[in-house]
Amino acid sequence: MTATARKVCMLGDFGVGKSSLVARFLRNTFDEKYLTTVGVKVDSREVALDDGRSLKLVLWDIAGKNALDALNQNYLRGATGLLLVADGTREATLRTVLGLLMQARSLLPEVRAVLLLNKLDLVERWEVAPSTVAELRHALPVFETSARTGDGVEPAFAELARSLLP
Amino acid sequence: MAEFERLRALLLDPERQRLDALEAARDGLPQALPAALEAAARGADAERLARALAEPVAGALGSAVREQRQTIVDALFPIIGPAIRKAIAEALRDFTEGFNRALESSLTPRGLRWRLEAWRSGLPYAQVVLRHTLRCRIDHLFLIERETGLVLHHAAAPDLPDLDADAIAGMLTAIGDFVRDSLRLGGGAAGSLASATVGEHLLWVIEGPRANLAAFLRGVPPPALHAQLEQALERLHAELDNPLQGLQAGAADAGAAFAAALDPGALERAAVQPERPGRGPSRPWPLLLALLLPLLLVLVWAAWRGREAQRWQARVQSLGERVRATPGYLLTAVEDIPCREIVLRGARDPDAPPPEGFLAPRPPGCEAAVRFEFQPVLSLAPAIVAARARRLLAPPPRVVVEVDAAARLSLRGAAPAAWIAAARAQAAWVPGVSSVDDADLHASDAARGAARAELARLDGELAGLRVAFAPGGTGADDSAALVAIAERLRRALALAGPAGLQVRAAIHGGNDASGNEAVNAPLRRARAEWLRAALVQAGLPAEALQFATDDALVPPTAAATLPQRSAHVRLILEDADAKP
Repeated sequence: MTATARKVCMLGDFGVGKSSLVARFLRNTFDEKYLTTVGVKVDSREVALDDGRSLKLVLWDIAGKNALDALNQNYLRGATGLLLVADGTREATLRTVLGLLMQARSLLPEVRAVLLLNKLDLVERWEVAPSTVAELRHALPVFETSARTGDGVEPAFAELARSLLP
Repeated sequence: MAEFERLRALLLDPERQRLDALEAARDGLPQALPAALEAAARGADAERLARALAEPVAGALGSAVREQRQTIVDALFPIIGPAIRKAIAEALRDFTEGFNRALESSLTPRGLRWRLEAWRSGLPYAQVVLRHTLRCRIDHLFLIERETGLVLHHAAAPDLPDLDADAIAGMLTAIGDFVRDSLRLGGGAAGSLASATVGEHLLWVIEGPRANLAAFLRGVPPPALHAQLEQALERLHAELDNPLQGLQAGAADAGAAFAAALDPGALERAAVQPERPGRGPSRPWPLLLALLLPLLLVLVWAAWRGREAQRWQARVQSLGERVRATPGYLLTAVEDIPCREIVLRGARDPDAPPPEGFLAPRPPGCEAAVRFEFQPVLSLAPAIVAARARRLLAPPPRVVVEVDAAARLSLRGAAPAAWIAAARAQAAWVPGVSSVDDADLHASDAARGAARAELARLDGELAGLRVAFAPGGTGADDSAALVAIAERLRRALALAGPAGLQVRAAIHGGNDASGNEAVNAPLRRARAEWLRAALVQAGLPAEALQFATDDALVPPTAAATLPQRSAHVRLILEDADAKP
C-alpha cells in the first residue's frame, strides 16, 4: 500500500461509453464479461496530482441501468466517489445519470461526484445544450470527454481524485 | 401584588423561559434521541458515541439475558440456526475426510508409524495423517475492508507475479455481494461466500466485523490452516482499534501489524506444526513403564544372550579352524557346551605342536574348559616330516633341515664330519622321507682339515706297505700286509666325505730287475690285479680301486728301500667339487 485508496463507482445509462472510458484510463485487469454476469467490473489506477500527492482510485464499473437495484446498491456501499457518465449525443442519458446520482446520494450523502459528458468527438451531434452544461457546472464538476480520443478523461479522473483527498 | 408579579417577571422571566425550554426538551427527549443518535453515528463523533454506549449497551444486554432470556433467544434464533448448521457441516466434512484418510493409511507400515507418532505426541491420528499427506501453499492473502472492498493488506508467495490487488479485492467483494443477492440473503444476512474451488486452487473468505480475509490457496490445506487464518483475523481486530483508519492514514504500525499477522509462510508453518495442548491426553505412564520395564529387560537379556551365543560360536569355529590349519593334526569332530566345555577330537602326530598352544590367547567371553582327544598318527605333512627328521637326526645349529612337497629331505649347511656321515646313513630311514638331498651339506673347516691330514698320513703309511711276491710269482701270502693295506684304505674311503675329497686307490704292481719288459709288464699287471682282487675280497669297493699305469706314484725313497717284486696301493685324492 503505497497510496491511499478510495472506492469510486461509475454510473451511467447503457451505451454511454463507461467501459470505453475505463479502457482508456485503467489497466483492465478483468474481462468485460463480468459486467454482463456479475454486473460490475473492478479496476484500479493510482492518480498522481500536480501537487505531488497521489491517490489510488479503485473503480467499480457498474453495468448500465436506469435505476439502482438492490445488488447495485450493495456495490455502492463504501464508495466515496462517483463518476457519472452521460452520452452527449443522447440527452436522455443525462437525465438517467442525474437520477442515478439522486438515488446514490440517498445512500451515500457525503459522496463526491464528477459528471462526464462523453463522446466529445461527436460534438456536432450533441443533444445536450451548452446552457444545460453550464447549468450543471453549478451543481457538480462537469467534463466533456471522448473515450475514443482520450480528451478530458485524465482531467476528469484527476479532479475526482483531488476532491477525494483529505 | 401585581407589581410583585411584574417585578418577579422582570427578574425571573429569562430563567423561567429557560427552565420551560429545558423541560420541553426533556419531555421531547425520547422523540429526539433516535435522530440525535443517528446524527452522532454519522458525524465525526461516531467513535466517541460508540465508546460511550459500549458499557451501557453491554450492561443492558447482560440484564436482558438474565431477565428476558426468551426474548434474546427469539432474537438470536435466526443467527444461531445457520451458525450451528455451518459448524455441523464443517465438522462432518472434516470428519469424513479424516475418516477416509485414516482408513486408507491404517494398515500400512506408514500408517503404523503415524499412529506411533500420534501416540507419542498426543495428537489425533487424523491430524498426524493430514500433516504428513497434505501439501498446501498460500498464494495470496487479502485483508479487505468489508464496507468498501478496498485492500488493507496484500501478501503473496514470493515467486508469484504482481497483480492488481485492489481490483481483485473489489471483484471478490462484488462477487460476494452478487452471490448473497442471488441467494436472496440480503445485505445484512449472515451467509456469505466462504469458499470456492477451481481445480487445485481454493479460495477462502473469512469474515470479520470490519475486514474480511481472503486466502487463495493451492493444494489441500490442513484443517488447522483455517483456524490459523481466523485467529490472525481476530488478532488484527483485537489489536487495532480501527485498522481501517490507521491504514488509510498510512500508519506504519498498522501496516506492520498486518504484515506480521498475515505472513503466508508463517501461517503455513503454524498450520502444520503439531499443536502442544496444555494438558495432552492422559497416558498411563506408570503402568506402561511397569509393563515396559520387564519387557525391556527381557529384550536386553535376549540381545545379550544372542551376542554371547554369536561370540561363542565364533570362538569354537576359530579354534577348530586353527587346529585344522596346523600341520600334524587331523580334526574329526568339535563338540561344545556353551560357556562350559569345548571338546576337539581327531588324530595328532607326536611331532606336531602341542595342543595347549591353541589355548592362547584367551578369547573374550565366558570361561570354558577345552579338552583335546587326539589319537597318535604319523603325518606325512612336510612340516611334520621335517620336524621328525630334526628330532631323529639332531642336526647341529648350522644345518638346515627341510622337506618339500615331494617328501625330499634337504640337508644344507656345515656340520662335523661324523654327524654328516651318520646323517647320510640315517636320513633315508626317517618316516615320510622319500629321498635325501645332501649336496649342500659340508663338513665344517676344522673337521675337513683333520680329515685331510689323516688322509695324508694314511697315504704315507700305504706307501710303505707292500705285498711281496715270490720271483716270477703272481700270488702272495703276505696276509699281514694285506690286512694293513685294507684297513687303511677303508679308513681313507670313510674320510672322503669329511675331507671334501674324492678318494680312490691306485694299485701298483712291481718287478725286480731281472727279465725283459715283455715278461715284466704282464707280471706287474698280474700282481696288481691280485692285490685288487684281494682287497675287494676284503670288503673294499671295487670302483674305488684302479690300476696305476706306472710306478710314478711310488716315492723314489720307498722304491729304493723296499723290494720291488711287490704290489702296493697309493691314494688318489681329488677335490669333490671338481668331478669330471
